[in-house]
Amino acid sequence: MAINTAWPVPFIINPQHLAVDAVTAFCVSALLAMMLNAEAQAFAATFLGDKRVAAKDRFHFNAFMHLNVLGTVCYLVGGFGWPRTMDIDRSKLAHPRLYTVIIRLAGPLANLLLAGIAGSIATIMKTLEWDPRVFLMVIGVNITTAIYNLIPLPPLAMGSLVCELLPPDALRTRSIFLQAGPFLVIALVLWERLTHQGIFSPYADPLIKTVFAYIQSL
Amino acid sequence: MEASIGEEEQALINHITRKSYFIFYLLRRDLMADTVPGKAWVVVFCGTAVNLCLGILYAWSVWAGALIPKDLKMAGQTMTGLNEGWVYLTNAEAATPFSLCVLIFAVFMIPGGKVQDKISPKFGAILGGLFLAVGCIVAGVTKSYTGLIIGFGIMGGIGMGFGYAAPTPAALSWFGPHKRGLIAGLVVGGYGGAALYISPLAAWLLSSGGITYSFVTLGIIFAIVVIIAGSQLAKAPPGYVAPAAVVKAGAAPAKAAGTLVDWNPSEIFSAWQFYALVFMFIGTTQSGLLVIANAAGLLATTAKAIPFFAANAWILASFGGLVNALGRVGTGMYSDKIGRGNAYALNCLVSAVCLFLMPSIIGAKSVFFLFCAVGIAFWQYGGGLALMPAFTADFFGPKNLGMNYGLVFIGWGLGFFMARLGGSIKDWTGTLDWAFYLSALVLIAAVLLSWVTKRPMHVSSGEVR
Repeated sequence: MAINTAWPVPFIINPQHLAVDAVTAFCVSALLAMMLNAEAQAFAATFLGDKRVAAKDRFHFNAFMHLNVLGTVCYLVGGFGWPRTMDIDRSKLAHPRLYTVIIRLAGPLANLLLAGIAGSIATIMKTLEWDPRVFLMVIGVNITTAIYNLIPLPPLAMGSLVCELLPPDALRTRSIFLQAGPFLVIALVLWERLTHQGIFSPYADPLIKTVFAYIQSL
Repeated sequence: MEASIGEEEQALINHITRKSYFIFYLLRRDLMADTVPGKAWVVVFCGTAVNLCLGILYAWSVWAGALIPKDLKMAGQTMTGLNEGWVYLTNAEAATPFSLCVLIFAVFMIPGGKVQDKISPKFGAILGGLFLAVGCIVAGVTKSYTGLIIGFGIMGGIGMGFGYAAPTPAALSWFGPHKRGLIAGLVVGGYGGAALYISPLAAWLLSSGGITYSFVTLGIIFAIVVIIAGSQLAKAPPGYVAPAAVVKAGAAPAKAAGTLVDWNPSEIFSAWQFYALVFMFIGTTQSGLLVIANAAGLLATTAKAIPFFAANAWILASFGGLVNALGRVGTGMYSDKIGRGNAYALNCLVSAVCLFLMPSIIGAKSVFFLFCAVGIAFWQYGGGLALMPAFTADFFGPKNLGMNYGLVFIGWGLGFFMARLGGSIKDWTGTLDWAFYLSALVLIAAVLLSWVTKRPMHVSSGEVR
């Protein structure tokens, strides 16, 4: 069955055309994306040595407890975002700088995995002649989240790589970078939305569309 | 047209009847030989009743049939007659409330588990049931696509999330580990079993009173059932000791099947058995889905050519749901008797044989064999969903079962991934044959793995194997 009715990828909420189905599908997809992103970081941290018994921020699979205010606002404004930052005890990691980056990267990788799973469900729905557009939205939002993690600003995954590449004694620079990062991302996304000047989208959107087409066509 | 039953269909009906009788016999024998208080069984059956309401999701196709016009060009036009006020939907619109309901259900299932832990299973079940009931009424009264999204998709999904999480832990708390499989199967089976009655009931309500009437009536029925059944749900009181398995005179005392230590979610990654469970889950999911995805549609089209099935389409619609539900109860039950590993091996090996035969079954288009193949796949897939939580509870303890099972559930997701490889293999080789063979090999590998996988020993337990 051909898919003609799929919502645009990447999907960005347009306040002038609010459709209840698209907005609901987007919000649920964003919740799932944030939850998977955070739980995957928790999994990687535990796997790499930072084990915690009864940690409050890990393995509860409750999307609402992973919500971060700025990350959620970013979803509503720019179609991507991030969950509440998961605490990492660097002293427990054998290679703190490398492992921190791997843990942060596990988030977007999990988003790609979820996109793949949603793609499988969409394929099965297609064979049963059901329209899978809601699951296509899950794929789109997760790919968008994963790709935008390439922006080198914290709390996005590449941002944490930049953080780790700073000289180890530049603690002050690092903490300013970490605190300002989310605001900077939101400011840039808002600037892009309001002025229609391409900042991220000219680079990210083609990549998102390519990966989306690939996952959907598998 | 007079419906006539051919020999093949008669054989099939006899087969299903015999199988059902056997299962009910085993079930009855199990129920009689028990010493738990009566309240325990009240909780189990009230839990099943709550799940029977929540399973409305399975009947969505009945409403979708009424909402999609026969002539697709009529989408967007208003309906007449019983359904005056409603507007015909496109295929994409009709699938949206269902898909949203599934996803919102998934998002709310774990928070729902917290509600039943923190407050009570009674509260969780009634809250969930009322969300669903009000959602149905909203969907019916608003007579619009938006109403269906809000009522069925959002409120229904939230209700299922809260309600589904409530009955199983409450029911399990009354029984010892030797009954875990059966009880989980009975309660969870209610959800699958709903497909049996909701589809025909909804179809009847639709034809007699229209879409609004069917939603509102079901909403009212759900509210009544959930309030009555939900109020009976309770965990076993503190200090309650579940009766242990009866040991035959002269037999050596059975070795504890379950762990005595409750593992923490962060600890299970260090046990290789966790990864083995994930792989076993991948095994059951991928093979079941591969057959369901490729044979269920073929069965429906082939069987419709037979007058008996054309006249009784509900058999085809309910068959998968029925076997899925029976598979959960049945597998849970014999896993208590013969051990989880053996139950897993039994299901998977039968399935593997079926997979090796799939190319010839699809080639022959025999309705009888297609019924068998789809039945085995559904049974095995449902059985996997009942076995894996029991395995997780045996290996890592019941206390953190929700979280630990959530992690093992990754295997279910990955299984979906594998089922789709079938499509790619078909593109490369031009036929699905190798997808079936590969799937059977993965399944056999999973069985071999299940034989060497024994319960992990927790460092703090001091247990010696």
